[in-house]
Amino acid sequence: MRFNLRVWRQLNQASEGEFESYSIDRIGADLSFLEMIDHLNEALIEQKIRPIAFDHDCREGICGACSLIIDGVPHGPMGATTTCQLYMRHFEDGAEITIEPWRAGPFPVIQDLVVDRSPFERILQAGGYVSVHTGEAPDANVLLVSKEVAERAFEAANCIGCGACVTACPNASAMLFVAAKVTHLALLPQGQPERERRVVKMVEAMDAEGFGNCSNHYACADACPKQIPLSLIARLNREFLQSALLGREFGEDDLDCCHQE
Amino acid sequence: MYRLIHLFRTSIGRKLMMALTGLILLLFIVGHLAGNMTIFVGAPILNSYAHWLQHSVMLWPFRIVMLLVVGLHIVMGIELARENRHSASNGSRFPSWFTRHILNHHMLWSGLAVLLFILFHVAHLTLGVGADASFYQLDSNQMMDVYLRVVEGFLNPWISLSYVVLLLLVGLHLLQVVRGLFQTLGFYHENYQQLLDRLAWGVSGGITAGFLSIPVAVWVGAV
Repeated sequence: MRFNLRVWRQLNQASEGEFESYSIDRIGADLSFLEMIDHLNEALIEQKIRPIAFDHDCREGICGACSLIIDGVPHGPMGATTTCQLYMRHFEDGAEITIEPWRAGPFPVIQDLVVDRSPFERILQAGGYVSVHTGEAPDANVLLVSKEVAERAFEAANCIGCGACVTACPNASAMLFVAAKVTHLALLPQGQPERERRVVKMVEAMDAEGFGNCSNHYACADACPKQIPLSLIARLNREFLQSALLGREFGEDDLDCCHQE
Repeated sequence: MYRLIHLFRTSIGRKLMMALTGLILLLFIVGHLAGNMTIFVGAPILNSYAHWLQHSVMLWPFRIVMLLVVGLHIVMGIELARENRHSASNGSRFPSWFTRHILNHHMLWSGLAVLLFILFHVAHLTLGVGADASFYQLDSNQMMDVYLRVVEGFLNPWISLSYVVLLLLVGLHLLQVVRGLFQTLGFYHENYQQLLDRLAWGVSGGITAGFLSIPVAVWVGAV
């Protein structure tokens, strides 16, 4: 198959980016989208052109490293899939394909198609964890979790933190991501001790990173490769407002006051 | 108190404030519509209702509270929109200009229309900007003839046109309100979404149709 590609090229965060056009031929229909870029990069290296930088890791749809806005759609036109699981057979032979990096204020472009997603890491550091006593492995079935609750928690835990929700949102809001992480732990018994402070800390971290506010466009859930349900945003609002209005610790300067090494 | 200040510094807290002030304004609109419907009962009823409102001791306290609520809603809305524009400053160039600037910020634009409508409406029927002496005419019970103001106003095609166009935009603003309100207050359940969608159409459609019925009634000569 042959394709005409319009690819965003940008040397670094400070420089202006622009689209470059490339033609690529003899691409197998069963190559993944990322393998197609690998082929293009090999051709570019042979022509002594700087290869296109892009994020990738597991290439099996579970790590959250790959990104790319393809023809205006995060992770491409298939829906419910990551870019690495998108195959060239999903495109028409001879098609022109536009490839952009994630576009969002809090995700600056590092180079070409690679953006800085460390704001997500800092939100997770603020509260996306559980504190447990280490030591011997706990006995099985000590903490009982019903099948239904486990399924709900898993639905939220599916979030791979790729950032498609942010780039799809006209406000670059990270509500769906934070909602997934908060819900996942709020539903399980292991998450209960830190439940109130977790949601407050993660929302405050989200605000501090400069993500926008949810204005109920719901573009995030459409773009999500893991189909994180929209209902979780309402749950995040509920968890947050409960903690803020009724929680014991809200408004205190340092919620980690009791934590000692 | 410190807790509330802290809350309204967060993004979700501000959205709560938008939702609560919006809810108060929605309740006001419903009450206003109910009062206006007295025009269909008859001129003396509408005029005595208006007379009662104008001479109530609660008139100015009520107006001040409503001004505060509207002011908060507007300031908070602009603040949220400003933050959103800042976050999305690097937004994709792919969607059309119309999508990026109008559709994606429709609550801001339709909200601006609501503000225009309020200003126009107060100037037209409360202050009587540009009106002649008949605006202050009394009816046979020596009460201000509000009925006459309404009928004469809507017989002017320009006033009618502005009223109808702005009112439809108010309806668009209200259409987005119900679902967003429940979402912001933390309620979402698959079983109730269809009901909420119908409620949204019912509320915005009902309110718009109710207010539209008055100029239509004037045109066809029913009042």
